[in-house]
Amino acid sequence: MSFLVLQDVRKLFGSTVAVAQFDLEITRGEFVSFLGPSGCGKTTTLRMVAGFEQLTAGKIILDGVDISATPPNKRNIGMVFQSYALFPNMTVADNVGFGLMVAGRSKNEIKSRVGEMLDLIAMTDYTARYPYQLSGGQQQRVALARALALQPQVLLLDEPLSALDAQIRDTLRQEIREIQRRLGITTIYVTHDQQEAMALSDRIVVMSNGRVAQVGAPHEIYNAPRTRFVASFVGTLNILTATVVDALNVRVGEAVWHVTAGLTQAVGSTVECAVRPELLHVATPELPNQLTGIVQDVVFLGATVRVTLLAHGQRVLVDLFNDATHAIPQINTAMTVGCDPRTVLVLAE
Amino acid sequence: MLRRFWPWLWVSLGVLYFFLPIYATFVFSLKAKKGIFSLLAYDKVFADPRFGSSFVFSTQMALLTIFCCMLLLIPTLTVLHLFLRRLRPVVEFVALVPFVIPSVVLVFGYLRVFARPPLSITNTTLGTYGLLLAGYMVLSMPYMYRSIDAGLRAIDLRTLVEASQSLGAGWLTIFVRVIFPNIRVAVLNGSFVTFAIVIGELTLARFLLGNAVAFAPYLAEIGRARAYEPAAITVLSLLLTWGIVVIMQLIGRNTTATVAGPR
Repeated sequence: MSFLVLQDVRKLFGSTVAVAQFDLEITRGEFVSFLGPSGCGKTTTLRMVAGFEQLTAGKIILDGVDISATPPNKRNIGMVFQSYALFPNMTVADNVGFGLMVAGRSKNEIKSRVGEMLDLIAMTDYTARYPYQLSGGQQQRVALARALALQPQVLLLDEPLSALDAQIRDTLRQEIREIQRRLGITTIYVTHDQQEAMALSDRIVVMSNGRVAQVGAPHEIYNAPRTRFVASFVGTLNILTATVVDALNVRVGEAVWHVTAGLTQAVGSTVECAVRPELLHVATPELPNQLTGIVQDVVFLGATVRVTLLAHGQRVLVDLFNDATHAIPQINTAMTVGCDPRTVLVLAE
Repeated sequence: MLRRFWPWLWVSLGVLYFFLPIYATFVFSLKAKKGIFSLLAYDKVFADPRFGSSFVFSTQMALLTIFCCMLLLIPTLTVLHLFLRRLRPVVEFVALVPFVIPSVVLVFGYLRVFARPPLSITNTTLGTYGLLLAGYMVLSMPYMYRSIDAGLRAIDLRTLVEASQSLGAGWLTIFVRVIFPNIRVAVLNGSFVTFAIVIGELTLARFLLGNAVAFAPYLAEIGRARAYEPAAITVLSLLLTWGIVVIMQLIGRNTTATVAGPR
């Protein structure tokens, strides 16, 4: 049974389409990320769920109740903002207890709940501090505690980690996921960072130009992108132009590659085949789908080595595991790589 | 050494420019008795009941003006910042108009409209006070507008409002608990100027109320007939005004309007 339903949701700003026909069903306790580039409509959709933007058309149903016209302060939806949005005039304790105070809870209840929340984010020693006395990561943790204090039905997070440095981002990412699992709260997370979306989410909604490009579990989005946009936005991908030979084979340069997905395109027509850099391996006689190119660049990344090949006029990236017993490929030498036919994706437009 | 000399020179010149006239006025106010310094002028001022009543009246009007300006401008500017950003230049222009309209023009305009039927507001004392209050609000609007506008620009208003709403707060709670405390310093700055304007305003008060009700007309009247008392009143009014400003600052100092955010 769906807990939160977005039904044919649309949003226009004047004549500009911000969100076009957005349909999504979220189950209770699910962690869903909206992933996409700037201007794809992910934040607008989130703001419509929060009640900060009016829907041009469609419905938002929360636990069986249509909340499309409900004002934001009556929705019981918590939100964490990119800029933290802590009240500068209030201490940490007052910030966390603000929602409870507005709800008219007793002083004792507020004190006890604020204590629980600060314990949850491991900041019990910071009750009397003001926001400007906290680091960015601490401020965002307080913002999270503040949003959770009222036990909202849904938690919305609008790029909450994008203003933080990498190390704090990783730590806080894990904390958010742990807290979300512990509380079992239905969560929507907006981000343009694919790693963040993959690490956190039960499902990812990839958006492009105000539309849903694909919805699926992180591994589905990564391993089986349905469109060229999803394939290129999520992870690094080699997109190779190929010619259809028959329903199961294409020609890439001079090599014939086998594909497992049956091709419906006419023989001789051009298609785009995609393969992840980490799924290309140095060729062995048994490895099918081979491609030979000249090494253009080699970048040592620690655990992996990224090799750039030029093969039949096409740039191909290959990620090899760093193995101290093998020599690193040399620039301007020939190199042959291959891949499992099951890893080759034929992209739709 | 030279680097320290110039800043101190400019500071000293500034202090002299500001305090020398006050010092001279003060010294002059002590010369009511020939040949010696005395507090005779101050005794005479305190003996006149109109001094206290006019100062209290003007102080009350100043505080009322500040309150009404806040009541009018904080919600208006909040709405402008949140929902009608395109109108901001227009409202800014309107708010600056009082700079170019002399008080005498304003008061004669008021009298033409409100001192004759069908409105005849000036027929009652309360009506006249109301009209005076409206005039004071117009005169202080550019300063209050600028101060509140700067305060609202300094905070992330939209996000703070949205954060409050997501926590269940209605508009009244948002204004009282979130917006006002975070622009309190800015409002105080505007209030100081408003206070000074109302205490020293002559034209509106004189034409609407006569000579001795408000402080500035009383001061002007005394100045026409006597020499030392106006100097004593000026010194006293300066001290009283500074005293009230210090009290207002003490009330408003317990604020932590440092803007939080990404760092």
